[in-house]
Amino acid sequence: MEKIDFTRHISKGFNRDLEIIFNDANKMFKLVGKQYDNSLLAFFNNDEKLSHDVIANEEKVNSLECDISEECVKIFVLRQPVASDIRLVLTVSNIIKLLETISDKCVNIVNISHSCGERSEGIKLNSINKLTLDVRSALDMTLDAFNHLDSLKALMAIKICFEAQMNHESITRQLILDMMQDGPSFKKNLDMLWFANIIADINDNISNIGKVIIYLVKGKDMKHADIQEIENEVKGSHNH
Amino acid sequence: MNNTQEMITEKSFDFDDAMKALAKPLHLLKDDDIAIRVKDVNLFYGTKQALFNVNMVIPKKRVTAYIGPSGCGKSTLLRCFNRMNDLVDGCRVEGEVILDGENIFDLIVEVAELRRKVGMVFQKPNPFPKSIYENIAYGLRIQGINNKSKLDEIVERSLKRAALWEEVADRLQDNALGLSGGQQQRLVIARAVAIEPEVLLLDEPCSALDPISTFKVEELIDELKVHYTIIIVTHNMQQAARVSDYTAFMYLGEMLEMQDTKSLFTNPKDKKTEDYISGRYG
Repeated sequence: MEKIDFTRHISKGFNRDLEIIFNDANKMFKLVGKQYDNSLLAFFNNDEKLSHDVIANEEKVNSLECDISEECVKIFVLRQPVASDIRLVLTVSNIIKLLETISDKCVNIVNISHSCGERSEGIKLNSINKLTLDVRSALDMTLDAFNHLDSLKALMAIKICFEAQMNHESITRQLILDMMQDGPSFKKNLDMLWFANIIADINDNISNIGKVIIYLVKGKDMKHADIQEIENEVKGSHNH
Repeated sequence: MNNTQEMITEKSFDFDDAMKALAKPLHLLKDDDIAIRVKDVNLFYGTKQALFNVNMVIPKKRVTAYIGPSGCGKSTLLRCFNRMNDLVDGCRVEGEVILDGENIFDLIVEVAELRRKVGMVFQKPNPFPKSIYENIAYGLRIQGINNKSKLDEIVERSLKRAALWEEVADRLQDNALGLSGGQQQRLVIARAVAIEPEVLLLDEPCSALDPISTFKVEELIDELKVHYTIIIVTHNMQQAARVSDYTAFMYLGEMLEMQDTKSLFTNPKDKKTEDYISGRYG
């Protein structure tokens, strides 16, 4: 698949329908990116207003997901898409579910920040900071990959997610060690562990978005492939 | 073995059966999986060339669909397989179509015998203006089968195979022209399978049928592929996707792409195939 061209179908209605779900998925990407940023700021700064914004925007995300999902069903029923069209509709359908889950996780972050209260302000371990930044850059990378149908960028996003997953494992080990050794900081470390786990869940969803984008571009299902297989598929066919 | 175990055993998934049901990618087909080989076929109507260097295989006991825009050579290629093109003045074919180890264009091949092995069903149902029974028995009698009980047996088996028996069992002597279009088409299929062909050619078999009759014929195609190699020409892409195991896309007399149907409809390799099946400007 080279690039998305919404002008070449004989049916103008079909062009329009595909363009709508593509643009709406883009909108949802950006909204969820903002949810992520706001939830982190709300958590680190214990910012009540931002917390409320995240919870309020969650409804927007949900409603956007329902609208796009309905539009995808309409395309299946009315247009019976095939080839790159069916891959686009399936991809959008999968991406919006993953984005909606990420937005749910952002709400979980602000909910933790409520229960942590002042404690969350102190949570700024370098490694956790790096984890949150890596996950954000992976999300940006997947949006870019989706917009440009770029499987290499999707692969880069998956690699960032893989590194972030490694980082999360070492953070977990460190926090468990701290909890065992430093009794008074137990609660604070536990909060950090919850927080890191939520970020890791978001990271998993972003990695899955990357795999779905590779399916869109290459037509090959990479859901259960390991990173090496994905790289072979993307780079192998890039060289052809 | 207790009841639960029995139930589990009864319902257990048969991996071998499931694998047989799946259409293998073309490159994994072995010699035994192939019914027909088309080699370098060029076809000319007078000076006009209609097929250009067509090379392909037709997998055995599978449904292969030909799709492509009008005039691309689908029906012309289909008619090569039982040499129907011989009936067209000025038609000349080069290349080979290998069926059962011999080139069907060889001079020694008897066309009548070839057409017994390769049955054909056309766009518009064409039953003989005779009884339902006679429509099927006629070809068998020409083949020398005159025994009444043998004829009865084959007529019943063919009508059952064509999923028509239950609808006509009590009126076999009625005129076939009194049947509905969908029933007539299934009768014609029953007539074709009565003489036990190896290959069935279906040239847009549902284009003159209503949606319910179309679904019945499609269901029938799915059942018939257990016994026969089927090649279908259709303009209806959804139909090709529903009924076929393999699909070939033809364009301006060339076979541009052939893949297992799932791959062709989800991830076509050729841009022209992509444009055609997704309804884009060429």
